[in-house]
Amino acid sequence: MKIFNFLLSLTVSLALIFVLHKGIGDLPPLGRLLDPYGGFWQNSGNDDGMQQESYELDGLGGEVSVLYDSLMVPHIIAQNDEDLYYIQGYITARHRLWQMDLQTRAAAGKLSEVLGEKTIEFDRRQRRIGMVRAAEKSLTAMMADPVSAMVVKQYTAGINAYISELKYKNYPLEYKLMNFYPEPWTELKSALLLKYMANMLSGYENDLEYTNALKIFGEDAMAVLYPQYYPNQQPIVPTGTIFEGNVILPENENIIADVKGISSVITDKPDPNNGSNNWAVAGSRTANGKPILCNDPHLGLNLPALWFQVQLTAPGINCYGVSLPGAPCIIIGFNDSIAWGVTNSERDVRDWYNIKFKDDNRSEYSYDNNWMPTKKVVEKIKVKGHKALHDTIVFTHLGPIVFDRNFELKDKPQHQRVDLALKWQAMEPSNELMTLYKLNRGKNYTDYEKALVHFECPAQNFVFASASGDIAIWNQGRYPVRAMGHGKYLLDGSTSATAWKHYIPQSENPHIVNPQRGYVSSANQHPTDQTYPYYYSGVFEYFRNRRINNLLDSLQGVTASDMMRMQNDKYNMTAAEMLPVMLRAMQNVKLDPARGRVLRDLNQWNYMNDAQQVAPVYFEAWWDAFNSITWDEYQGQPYPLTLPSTATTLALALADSSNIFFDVKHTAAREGRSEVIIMAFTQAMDSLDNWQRSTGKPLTWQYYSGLRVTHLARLEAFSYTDLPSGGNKHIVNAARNTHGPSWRMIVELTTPVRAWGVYPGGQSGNPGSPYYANMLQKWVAGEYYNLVFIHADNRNEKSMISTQNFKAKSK
Amino acid sequence: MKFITQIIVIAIVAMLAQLILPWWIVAVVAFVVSFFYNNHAMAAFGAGFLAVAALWLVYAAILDNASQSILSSKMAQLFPLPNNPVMMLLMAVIVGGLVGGMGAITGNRLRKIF
Repeated sequence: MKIFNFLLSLTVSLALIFVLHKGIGDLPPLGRLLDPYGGFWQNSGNDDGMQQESYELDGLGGEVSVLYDSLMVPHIIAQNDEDLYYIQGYITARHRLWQMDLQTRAAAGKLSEVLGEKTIEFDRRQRRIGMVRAAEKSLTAMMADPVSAMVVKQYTAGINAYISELKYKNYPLEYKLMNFYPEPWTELKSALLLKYMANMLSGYENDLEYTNALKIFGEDAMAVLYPQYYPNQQPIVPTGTIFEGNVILPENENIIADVKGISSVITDKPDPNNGSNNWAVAGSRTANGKPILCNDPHLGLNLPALWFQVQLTAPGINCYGVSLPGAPCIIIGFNDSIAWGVTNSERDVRDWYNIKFKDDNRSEYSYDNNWMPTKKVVEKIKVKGHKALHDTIVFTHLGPIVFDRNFELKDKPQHQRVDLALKWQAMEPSNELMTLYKLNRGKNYTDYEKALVHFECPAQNFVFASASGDIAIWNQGRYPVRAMGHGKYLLDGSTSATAWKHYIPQSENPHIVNPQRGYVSSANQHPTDQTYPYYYSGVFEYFRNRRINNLLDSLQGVTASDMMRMQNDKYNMTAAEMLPVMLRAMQNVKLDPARGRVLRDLNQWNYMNDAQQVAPVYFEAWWDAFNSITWDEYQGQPYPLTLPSTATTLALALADSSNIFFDVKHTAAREGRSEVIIMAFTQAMDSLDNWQRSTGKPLTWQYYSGLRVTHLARLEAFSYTDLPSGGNKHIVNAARNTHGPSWRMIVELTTPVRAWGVYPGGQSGNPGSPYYANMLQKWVAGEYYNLVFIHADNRNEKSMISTQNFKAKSK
Repeated sequence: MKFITQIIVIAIVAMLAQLILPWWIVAVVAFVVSFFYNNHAMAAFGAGFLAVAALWLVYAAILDNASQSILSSKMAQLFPLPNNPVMMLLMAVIVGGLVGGMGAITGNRLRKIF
């Protein structure tokens, strides 16, 4: 009995310890986690590594100082480039290691290894589009240049120096919660991170949906539904600019794949609202006679924040700005002489080819009347707690087959089997890091031009301003020469006639330097008007850029505070152009008093999407209903389609009030714009009543827009919701839902240079740190921080909260 | 008195051991110490429970207090428990206490065999 008692308590103890050490299912290992000596308590309010004054690290050449300012921005002062990037890696890892790890895992399709079954499909698609192969090609290009090779090697070594110091108790909190471990960093991971951005920014197209729409609605309707240009649009390079250059006539032909309509789906497309604003105002229009540059990239808003602010100082470089945790250098920033920023180009550099295989083995495919062999690669996807999964990927010379019989919609019986090979500029070797390296050190316009030539994908609009007075913008990327219409639809993959054959010469990319009007600007709109000699397509923005240009046109003696107001502008241009038409249609409609009040509110609205207002909610719901009734032709179609854009719907509504698309199919009557507006009003008001009943939230834009900043692992407790920022997509302050301005920066190129910035988060990735989301409140309020810019000989010590000295480990 | 010294001895030895060894060492400490105290099994469990619970409570409370409970209140929401840092201290006390108590009772019952 005594032995039994002993064995019983021994077994219970061991089982208890095992469960508390390993965790079960989604339950974290509670013993390890709750233990104050090693568990989460060790992450609480930790000093983010700022207390220790001196560090000795293997791999450092000389001494490096790191000064933290009150936002915990590290200002790194090194004696040479090697040490500079080493410490950039070390410091970034200290604050953001888990985020870097998770994002590179996501890029490579290796999430399931740590997160389990729920991410298998995501991983599989990342593998199929070939993120790792793309990163490997880029890494080869990076390593071929001794400068970029040094930068990425040193950065990697710095991250690994930090990882090798870690014990369980210093692991970032999320490792403890999700129960996995940091693994050594590699140069490939940095390349993967850049490809992750490339995917986010150049991965959007609608080739398959457009092909289906063409089959359903016909060619004439396509010009109405997906027009190439919009009325009164304002391209980045102003209308009327003469384009020079020897134009090579397109040699590829636009042969659309011969398909009946496709019921598979291209999934995991990036958010089409990934966009941005940037502009630079020449000294002739500013109060102090020096250029001012502004940039706010709009991306998914997460915590830990997407960006990490840093200042990099060494002989030959003194640069401040934001970096991507996991990639060296500064992506958007400024130095004493120049400032630059980016918006996404939106030009389509991603095509799909329909491949005709000989048989179900898929080992040969038809090309120019020959049979070409495929190559097959088996991808092994490790899954936590389960057997690994194997996925065979078939390669053609055009690219990998990403979507095939495995991605058909099960509930759509009339499908046609297709095998779609992906041709994508992001798959080509390029060395974007060199652009950043050179921009960080740039002195003038010539340096900027030389830096840009390395930047191929994701294509960006690089805005520029220099202390010497130049402003410029380049629509920079590597673009194929296309025949008219090429790449808008699925291409025939059985003939070389459709292949990409030439690239547009870099010098002929759209650009403008010191224009007459005294400013340059971009907000993801068309880069040029129709006189640009090359054909391109894409999904371009139509509203923000016009508002920005209107505001800039109206300003003289521009100051930084004007620019702050502009970046936070909430003027709803869609409403300003459409609402008067909608209200007119309602003039003779009898309404009960409550709905009459809605119209009165809308009549008095100043078109500002302020957080506390109700009118933006009414308009949004009304506009959404108007859209869905107008495009009722799309409902119940057997194939995936994409709805026309806001710009298209608006242009149609203003230009052609009796267009056949306004007719509602299920009614006998022939409706026009006005009837649709009236029907939409009732539908919108009903849906708002439902929204209020189901959410129980007040009917203001703050709650209806649902702006939130979410932890990367979707942990509510580490997220911030219902933020009262105001704004919307197609508004300069493009904050809505999970999306918005991820970094607002304003740089005045005076001597000394002055800059302001803010992002929705904080420098620390640790939810237990006071620096985790400390900038969020000012971001919501549209306020800014003065950015502290120091020099090696003037360290502005009084703005600093901590100074650390790094030196080589003594042997 | 013996009960009090048992608690103190487990707590002190466990604290020193935790400086270098993983968290579950507290069970081993409670096990070994309780082997030398020939008392009632429930008394051993109580001593192990209280010793480790107190050890974890005090250190966790110090860390929590120094950080204005930023993290413990977020962790409480995560589980999800009421948004109160005391919840996490309570969880630590229960988990640590159970492990200490089970270690102690196992040591006590081993002793009973001889």
